[in-house]
Amino acid sequence: MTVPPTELLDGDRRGALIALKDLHKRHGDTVALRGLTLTVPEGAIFALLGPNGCGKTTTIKLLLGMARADSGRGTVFGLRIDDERDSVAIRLRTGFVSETKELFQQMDVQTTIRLVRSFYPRWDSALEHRLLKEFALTSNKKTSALSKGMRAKLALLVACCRGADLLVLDEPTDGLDPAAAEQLLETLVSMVAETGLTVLLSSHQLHEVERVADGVAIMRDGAVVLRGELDELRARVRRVEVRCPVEQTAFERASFAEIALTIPDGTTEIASAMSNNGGSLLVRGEADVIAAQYAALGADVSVHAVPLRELFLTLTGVRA
Amino acid sequence: MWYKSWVEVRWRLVLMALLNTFIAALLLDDTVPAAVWRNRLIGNLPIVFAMNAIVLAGSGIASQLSQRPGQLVHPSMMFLLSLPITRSRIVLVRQAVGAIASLVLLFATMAVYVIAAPEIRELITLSSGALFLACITSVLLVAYAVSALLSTVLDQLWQTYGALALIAAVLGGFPAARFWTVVLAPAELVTRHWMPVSIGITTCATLTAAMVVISVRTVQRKQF
Repeated sequence: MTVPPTELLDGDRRGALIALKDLHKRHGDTVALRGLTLTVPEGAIFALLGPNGCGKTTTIKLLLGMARADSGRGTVFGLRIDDERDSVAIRLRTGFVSETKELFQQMDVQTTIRLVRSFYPRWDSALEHRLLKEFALTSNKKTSALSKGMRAKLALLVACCRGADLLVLDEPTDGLDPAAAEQLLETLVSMVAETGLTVLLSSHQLHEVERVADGVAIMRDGAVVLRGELDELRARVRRVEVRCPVEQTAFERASFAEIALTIPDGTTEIASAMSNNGGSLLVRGEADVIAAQYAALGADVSVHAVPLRELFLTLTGVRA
Repeated sequence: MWYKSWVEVRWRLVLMALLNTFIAALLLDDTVPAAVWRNRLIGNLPIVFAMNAIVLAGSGIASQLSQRPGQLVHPSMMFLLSLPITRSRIVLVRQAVGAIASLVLLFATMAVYVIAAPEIRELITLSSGALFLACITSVLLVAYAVSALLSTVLDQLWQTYGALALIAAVLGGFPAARFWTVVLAPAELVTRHWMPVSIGITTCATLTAAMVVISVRTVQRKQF
């Protein structure tokens, strides 16, 4: 029996196209996901960011029924990801491009298209012909003989033409030359604009994500450490840099490092690297209020915008 | 799915057809009396058909599904699993295509022997021939199901070893394999054997069904 999403999920998660709650998954001794909770709104291009091995591909596999979570719950289109029948219904409405861009190696381009088309009653033949032309795909060429870029284009074609409501793309531009990556992204953006479909995109390419995505979730060690709309993150995430005045005594410096900040409602401290001499904080929300508290103690304080790259590097532990 | 499975099976079918042709070229000799043909039918052909089945059941979807959780899967596997099709259907269609190919090979090869060797026509009546085919089909399907099961529970390297071991067993090294292929399959021709054919066929059918069910369940539980 399909459990309605409202039973599975609470509060602001209702109505999300993808809703995952507290998913745990182990591969032998390796923990792939530890309490992953994530929602993806309908009609958005949403990017999953994170270093290798953080659980992005495992999350995608769970969404598509390729693996099952050890615990936790999840829905796509309100259908349970851990129910085989629901999973088939999810895949009927979902296009997928894998990281390797592999298709059926023994088949040529036309046969691959024909085979995939047979599964999807809403197949868009007009789009198929348009993309075949745009991507300059040779119909009778074996998929194993295609370059990675051409395979990616074919994989995107068969993912897009199935009349899907959701596209799941695992590292879609990985291994592509800049021109092929650009063409692929342009196609993606125009598709979303034309059809209003939702895209879940896993990527390392931060500049591409910044160009096309509406929202992001940054993952680390199998959990989401930050989620938000890109515009909101650009507007509200700030780095507060604090320098302790040289003239302060060692005692004053020590107490300075240990001060208890008053965090305003709706504001979160994302990361902190403070010492007796100062340091920096990543703040989402009222950064000026935080800065004012340090300034009141006599510190030199400055507030800076935080590019997605810096946010990513800080949250994934690459940069302290 | 039927077409995809056929693409996976077709080269194996061609290979086995060539093997059968080669063996037929060695065996077919119009100077050979019926008694010799009886021995050939009993001693050699069931083994050849069992080998056909073992080879046709291996690899394909089954080998792609046999990776352990957390390990890299066959690249096209991710693509296949993203399609709106149940895993049981994936396995059953692949096994059905391989089984049909095995049966086509069996019937075509037998037809060649019957047409090319008049002594066989003297040896068996229509009814005993039909019963012989029923027996050999049931044995062939057991061999097929064992090989298909191996390819779902073992990884790619071990399933190759498993298939080779199975073929070696069928070729005569293992008494149980010889029992199935050499005693049961030609039961009608070897009338001195006490085992009723119907029991043999029923046993084979049950074994085949059980192994197909285990294969499907194994794949359904598999994590990628």
